[in-house]
Amino acid sequence: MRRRQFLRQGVGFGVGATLWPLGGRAAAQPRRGGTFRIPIISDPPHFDFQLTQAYTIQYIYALVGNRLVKIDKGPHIHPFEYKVVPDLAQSWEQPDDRTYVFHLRKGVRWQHLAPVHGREFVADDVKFTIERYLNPETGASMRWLYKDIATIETPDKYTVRFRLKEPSASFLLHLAWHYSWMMAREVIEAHGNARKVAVGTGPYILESYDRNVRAVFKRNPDYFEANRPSIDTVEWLFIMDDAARVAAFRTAQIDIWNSVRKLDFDLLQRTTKAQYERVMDSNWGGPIVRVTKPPFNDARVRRALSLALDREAMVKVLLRGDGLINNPVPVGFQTSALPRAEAEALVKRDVREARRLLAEAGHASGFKASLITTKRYGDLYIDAVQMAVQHCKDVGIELDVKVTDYATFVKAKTETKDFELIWGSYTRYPDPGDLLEGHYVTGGGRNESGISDPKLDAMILEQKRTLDTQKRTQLIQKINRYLAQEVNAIIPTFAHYNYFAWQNYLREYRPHMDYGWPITTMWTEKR
Amino acid sequence: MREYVLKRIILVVPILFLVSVMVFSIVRLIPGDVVVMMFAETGNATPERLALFRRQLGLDRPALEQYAVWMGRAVQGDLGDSMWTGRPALEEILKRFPVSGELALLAMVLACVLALPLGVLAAARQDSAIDYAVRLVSVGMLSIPSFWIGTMVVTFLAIWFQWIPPIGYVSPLDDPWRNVQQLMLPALAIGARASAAIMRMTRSQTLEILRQNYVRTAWAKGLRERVVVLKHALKNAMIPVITIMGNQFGYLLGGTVVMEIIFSLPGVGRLTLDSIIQRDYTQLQGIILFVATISLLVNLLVDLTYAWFDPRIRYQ
Repeated sequence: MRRRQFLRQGVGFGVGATLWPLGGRAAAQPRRGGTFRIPIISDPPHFDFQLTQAYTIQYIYALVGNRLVKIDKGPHIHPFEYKVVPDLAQSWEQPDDRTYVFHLRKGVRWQHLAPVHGREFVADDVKFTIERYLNPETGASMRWLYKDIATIETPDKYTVRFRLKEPSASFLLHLAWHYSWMMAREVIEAHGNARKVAVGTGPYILESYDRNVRAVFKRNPDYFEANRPSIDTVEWLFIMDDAARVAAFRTAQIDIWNSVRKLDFDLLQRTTKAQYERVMDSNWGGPIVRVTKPPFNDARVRRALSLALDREAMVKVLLRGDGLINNPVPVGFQTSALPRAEAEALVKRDVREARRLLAEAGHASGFKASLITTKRYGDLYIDAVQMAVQHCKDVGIELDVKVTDYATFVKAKTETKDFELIWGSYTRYPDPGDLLEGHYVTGGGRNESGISDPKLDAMILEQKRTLDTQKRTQLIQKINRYLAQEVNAIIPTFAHYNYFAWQNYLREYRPHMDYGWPITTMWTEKR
Repeated sequence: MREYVLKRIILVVPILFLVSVMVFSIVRLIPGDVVVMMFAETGNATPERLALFRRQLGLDRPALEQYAVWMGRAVQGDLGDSMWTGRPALEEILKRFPVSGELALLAMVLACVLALPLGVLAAARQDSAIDYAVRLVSVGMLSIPSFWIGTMVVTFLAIWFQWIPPIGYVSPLDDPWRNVQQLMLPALAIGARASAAIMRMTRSQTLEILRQNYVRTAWAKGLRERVVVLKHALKNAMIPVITIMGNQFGYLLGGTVVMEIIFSLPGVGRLTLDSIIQRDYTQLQGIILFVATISLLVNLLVDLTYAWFDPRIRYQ
């Protein structure tokens, strides 16, 4: 090597060695600025989150709003970990098992928008929000989240005390859940509702909303967390078509994509450099059985129906092996799920036993039943129905399938309850107790099967009141076994993964099953 | 002519009345309503809660009363409020219609630019290689669904060029270049199919006219081919072609929902689809009435152009 070459390389190495730590540190530091672009499929009908359950409204308030407490999100948090952390409340305590006292942050301000005009957020806002939820005149269908509240007291401007009717293991989670945004009294007093106004205390202010085109949110300069958020603008882009979303992600016109189809997920992983993750979902689908209609009023018939289904084949064929056999309490609730082997054995196909039960119930030669479904949830569930038809035929149950449009499906399921079997996909819950209370308790808000089992009611109430996590898990597992062996009001099928994709230039980001993003801590390198 | 136009405009009224009765009745025959859809994902639809929302929306009133209230407002230009969003139905339609209108117009212009010359050429060169090629292309374009073309375009542009039309519709008045980028491809995809029908009609009509005696006379007089075909034959062949174009345009105004979805365009097609899914009666009724009015006016315009192409036509 010549002297000049040696010197050149030595200088280069020295410069690099000097600069490298700086470059490494610079890359790790959050940078202010940039735009975060999110694909959205549909508009919320309006902005009043207490009057609509459209999921897109949760995305609005994940940017403009806050809750008393929130679900933690970020690269260090598993997408299915529901860890409750402070939000508008900086701390809380639980003096007894029915009382929660929250201490609010001081100096938090509503956004400088009419009709609130930047007023300070106080305890009365919490009381107002929850009371509006609970008021029957409001007609909020999510009021069941707060039905355990007996009283709400505001001893001073920054303290809120909840007294519950009975202990509730999921109360804190309900306050952290995405429906629990805070509502300003002035909005309701001025307009009667919040349909046209989206104002909160959150990190972003809704600057413009062009229905079905674009929504733009700008950084709130008065946000209560200093120097947060880092990203200046959040933009929603309405993209309904799957192929268009794939193309938009490939060309970096969108920065994240939640609920990617498996087909597209596999394709993108092969062709596009980005970050990917798959998370077992607690979303669940399968037939709801109307237990008041013969022959399904006989538990043996329902058990036979469950035993007829070949879930292993469904996972293999429909999910290409990338999924799990589900249980009545979805296996996506990983902390309360049964061990895998037991979970699978609980719902393992057994044609002989199914036939025996049917014969015992007086249906030795089988019977016919109608099944309603809809294409709304995608081809996966239509294909599952077709497989189920074949499986049921093997035990003598002939299913007459009616594929209806979504509104007809919803009417039959939710209002008239005029069905024998109805098959769709159902919303995920943060806590298994909510699923059990909603779908299985006598008179529960989502008890579409019509099940009324005092023993089951008692078990569900017991798990709700049990605050010890380990004991509660055992109770939920016991309920799971009981549901699979004795009840079968909702027949479990398979559990699929939820697939996420996000661009490499997004930092401090990891998706989460709760609506929203770690929006105050994430940042983007893209300019 | 004036009397004819006036008579046609007056005829619009009973036609729209019939359309309003039909759409009002048919949409209410389908199971489910907007209130049930509001509770679709979360249940908890108690009879009291359903009744409360139905009362608020006037859905508990007799059907005849609902129709009378809605029509009473409609004749004054107020199409009511969307039951889903609470916003004025007409406001949403007026926002979306220019998008669909622009897409339909662009598609028709592209279709005509492609179809008319090729149709005439194929007729003038009957049974030649050009004629066979044109016929093959037109059959191909009729057979291939436009949504497939749209999906392929979006997908392969992203793969080959790392580019897709910008997302987030902008009006041509705000950013003409971005608007062109957004609409050109869907217009081409839709226009290709529309051009096939026009191309075939142009060819067959031109062929028929070229066989007429007066055209033979023109040839005998020694006129150039361009004069014979374009000046004498084409103009007389245009009346059925104009009719087809009018029908196509009317169809495109309300029938581009798939393209609107693929290319993320907020048009009337998507609004119609959403309104049907949501059972948003008011919005749906408003859209149908609006599009029917526009279609009737387009048809009137088409009829009036006949006289320009054939001066023998008189309106009485």
